[in-house]
Amino acid sequence: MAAEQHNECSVKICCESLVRTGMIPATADGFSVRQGDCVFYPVLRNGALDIATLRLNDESEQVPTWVRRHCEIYNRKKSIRVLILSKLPYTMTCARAGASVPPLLDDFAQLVGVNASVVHGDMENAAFSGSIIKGLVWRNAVLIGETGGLCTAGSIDDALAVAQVLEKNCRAVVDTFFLGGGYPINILEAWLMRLVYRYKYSKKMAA
Amino acid sequence: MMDGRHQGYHMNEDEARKLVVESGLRLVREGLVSRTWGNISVRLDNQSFLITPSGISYEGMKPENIVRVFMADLRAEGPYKPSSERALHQEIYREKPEIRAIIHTHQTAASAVSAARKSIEGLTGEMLKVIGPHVHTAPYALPGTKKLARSAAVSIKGSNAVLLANHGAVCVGRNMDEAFRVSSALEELCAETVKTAAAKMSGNDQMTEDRVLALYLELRTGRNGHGRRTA
Repeated sequence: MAAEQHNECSVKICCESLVRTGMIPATADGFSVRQGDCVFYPVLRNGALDIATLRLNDESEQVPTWVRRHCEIYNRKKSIRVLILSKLPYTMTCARAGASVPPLLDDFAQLVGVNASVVHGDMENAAFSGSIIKGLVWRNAVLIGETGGLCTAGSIDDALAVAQVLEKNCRAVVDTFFLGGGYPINILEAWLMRLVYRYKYSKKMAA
Repeated sequence: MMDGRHQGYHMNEDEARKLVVESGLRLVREGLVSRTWGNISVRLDNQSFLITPSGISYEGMKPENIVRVFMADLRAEGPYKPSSERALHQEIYREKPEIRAIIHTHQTAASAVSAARKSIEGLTGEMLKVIGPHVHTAPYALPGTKKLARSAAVSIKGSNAVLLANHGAVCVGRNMDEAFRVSSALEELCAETVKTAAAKMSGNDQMTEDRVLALYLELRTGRNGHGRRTA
């Protein structure tokens, strides 16, 4: 399967668009793309957004700690090529509320998984990436307490879709709270949808 | 607003195909769907309708990709695979002979409310005029199944919109513009329904989206949006 090809320019265009939608902050922290054994990540140079490149296993370079955590995730989960830490409002609210998000919508069950759990920890701490990876087992997103929703995928488009679906499901969690509570999709059906989606998707990608 | 020529009852197949493609782009532009989700159809005559294909993005869709499906047996004409929700469109066209356009969206506010599996009753004013007296939620069923198609057709009786539990919404009209107006009104209605419920809970009738989020956080955690503990 041919992986999506990226360079600093394409990553920068995407980064600017994510900032415009409010999915990531103006500093663009929390967004990175892996290309082979390199990671592209945003930096501010003289107040302007730019893209820096880091070798995945280069421990010598001084980089923000979130970039280091992303590298650890890329190293341990080879299928992940894009990470977006979504700051969208409903995602942030559910991350702050600290409770695992159930599958209230079927596209969430397909793209994200049977739930999105919340992990708490310190981004400065290297061990924290272990907790995040645990939260990502069979799932494409995990909520990080007080921080946002970390969305993962093999391509930028897919990571964006994961972030959008996570936001919509989080909105369902919040909105249904005021309407007497939401009815989650049955766990077996959620698993079934997830498996069928992944099977169909892998076939489509292989085609 | 689309070209009025395309909105009438008597359009030929080519015009109807173009209308479906334009409406697909409109779905994306208005944020009602993303990727290849959702679907759209136009009734061609009493025997068939045109529907969006499966697995082709709205941006890349061409009139020749649109699939003609026959009402009697759901048989599709041509090389492209029709949307997996074609049975849902078939059942609704049968249930409502007066309608000529159906859009199935994954619009945000309506999808969120669909997870509460509740009906919205007693619509008045503009909402009554555009949507009808109520919006029911069709019981949950797996996407693409006959069960979902049947329950949506039953639940949309007497209205121009139905919520599909844990899935999205279906909006119908005598033409495409009307179906889009229903969809936009439904989104507003669902957002307002949540704000009204939140206002009742908080005693503050000036609810904005930000206040709804802050109230949720406060009620769930005892903290406000800034992380401070409330009294």
